[in-house]
Amino acid sequence: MPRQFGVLCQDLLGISHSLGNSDEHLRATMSWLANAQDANQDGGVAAGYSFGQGWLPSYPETTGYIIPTFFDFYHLTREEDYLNRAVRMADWLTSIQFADGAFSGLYGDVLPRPIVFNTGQVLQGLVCIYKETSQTKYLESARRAANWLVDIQDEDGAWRKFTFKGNPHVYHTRVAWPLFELHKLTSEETYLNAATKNIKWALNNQEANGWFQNNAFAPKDDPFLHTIAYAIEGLLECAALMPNKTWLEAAIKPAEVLLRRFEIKGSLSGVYNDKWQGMVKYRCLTGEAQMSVCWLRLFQLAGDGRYLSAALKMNDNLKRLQDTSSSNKVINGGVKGSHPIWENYSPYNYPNWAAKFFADALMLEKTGLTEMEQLIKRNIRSRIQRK
Amino acid sequence: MNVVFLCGSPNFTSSADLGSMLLELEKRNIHVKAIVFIKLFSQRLFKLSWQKHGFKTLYKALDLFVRYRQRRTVPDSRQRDSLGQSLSALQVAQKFGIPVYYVSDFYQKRSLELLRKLEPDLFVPIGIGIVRKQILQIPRLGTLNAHSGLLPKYRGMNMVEWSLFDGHRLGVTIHFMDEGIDTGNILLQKEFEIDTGDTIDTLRDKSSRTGKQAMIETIEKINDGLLRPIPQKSGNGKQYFRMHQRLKLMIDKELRENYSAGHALPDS
Repeated sequence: MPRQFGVLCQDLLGISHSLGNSDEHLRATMSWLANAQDANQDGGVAAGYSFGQGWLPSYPETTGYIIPTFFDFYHLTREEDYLNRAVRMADWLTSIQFADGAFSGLYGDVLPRPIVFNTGQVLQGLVCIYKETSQTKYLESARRAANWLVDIQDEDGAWRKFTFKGNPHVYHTRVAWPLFELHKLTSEETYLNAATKNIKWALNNQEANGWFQNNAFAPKDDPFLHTIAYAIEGLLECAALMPNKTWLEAAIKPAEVLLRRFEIKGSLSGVYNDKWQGMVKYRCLTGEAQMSVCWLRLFQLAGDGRYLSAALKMNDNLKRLQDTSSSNKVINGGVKGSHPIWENYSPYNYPNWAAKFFADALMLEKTGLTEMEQLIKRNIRSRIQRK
Repeated sequence: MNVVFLCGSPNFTSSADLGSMLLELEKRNIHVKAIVFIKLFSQRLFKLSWQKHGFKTLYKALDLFVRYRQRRTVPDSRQRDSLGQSLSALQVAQKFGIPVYYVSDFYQKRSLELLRKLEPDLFVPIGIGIVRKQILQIPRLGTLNAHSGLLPKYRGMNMVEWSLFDGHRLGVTIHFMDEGIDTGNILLQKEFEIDTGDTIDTLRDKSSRTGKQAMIETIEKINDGLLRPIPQKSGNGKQYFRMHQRLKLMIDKELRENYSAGHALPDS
């Protein structure tokens, strides 16, 4: 209880931490994720740490997309432990795959049900580990998951069966993304077609101001920043893979709106309506980390330095809310769901996906800064030479 | 032609800048009808701030006081008289015989009535931030702005930094203000160069000096009927924001390395 009480007090008083360097925060975040994996001893990553329940059961969806994060960290540091951990995650996932190829939804379900989005995120992890290890068992598992997704897709490209709360979601662009990746590996046209149909369906749901309909968990709700960022990320990664300029411009529209909101207000709201008005005062930290990832990728794809600058500021904001000095392993390196922690997005929780996206943002920041340095060198020298 | 300057508090307006502009306009026989300052402190401003910020208002008031005290001891922002004594912005205005008015807030009904009564042809805002519709509608010709980037491409903040990042030319734009951010009709543009030893800070100073010269030139040309405003297309250009400090440090480092003694630039 004392650890939770400390966090609650800090949030109540608006106390933030001092700004450490990005490497420190990255290492702390990755250590936290490693601890989350060790919590359940099954190889999967615990969904998070809950104030009420302690470490939660391992979560297939997020374990799936944490695999690429661990590989990225392994490539950055050459620490084999992270590679081995990623393999254990993948082995756990393949051991719980349904006979029809799908993966289950929420962690700790008494009766696990197959869910489209979750299957898509596991697919991403399987594609990644196959690319890294060339072990065919992962490719086979990936094909089975992809085939299930293709089989249950509706003709217009949406997924309506086996979805969260029984609705189609534009954030399924993040399912289209690994389908494109699998197509690139296997040349299977069915994956290409299914992914393309889904992106086209998603774009039919986009309004002139960049807003996506059908992007919340429930139809009449305003979406969390979390699902808005999922939709943007899926779209821009598909645009980068194919490549497709129209899809990229469609991803840039909402990213640009959120960039302006962030630069003017200094933070983003946890929920937005269809006029891009912030509907709540609290912050969805997962969504913020995800937007930082989106902006960093847009900097890489479009060369627009404003995105890098905004992402650096966002990362600084997140660093100020991450405790890297606590002796307590569940707090040190964790990222809260909401700020303040009692608010509506994953309340009283340190979700593993918040940490995952923050780690991704910090690693992309490193690459982004190196690219920025090269760009600045080139541009300033050419300006001086033209004088 | 009636030119009216709209300034922030006289305590925070650079009297040297104000003085040099007034002198240049006087040389060109351009009449500055009035200077309108904002009061440093007023009950109304305090009340508005309290409603918005609560207890933080006290901190803001203290911060303002400290900055006010610091500015009084910064010699180079103040003009000096023939005896070398520093003059405040108010004293500079009085030296030129220009009527001075004080308002608590430009957007109060009384303030807007005052501004209308002055029958301005041009407003020249100095350090009052974004100007809203109620003021923009008043002057016959318009409200001028010296923007520190080359429009339409570069709108917003930190224009020197972003232009350097892109390897673009550096310059200033004088334009009429409208309700958008740096989207009004363009009147005049002036470029300036990067020289040996320049940093972001020195280039910002150059931008500021070039902006003042360009503003004077623009006012003169408007007076002579020599300028044709060029509308900007909304799609051209992006809005830029404050650049992250780490990126500014990279730019400064690159400027230093390119101009360090004996450093040979690579072939293009």
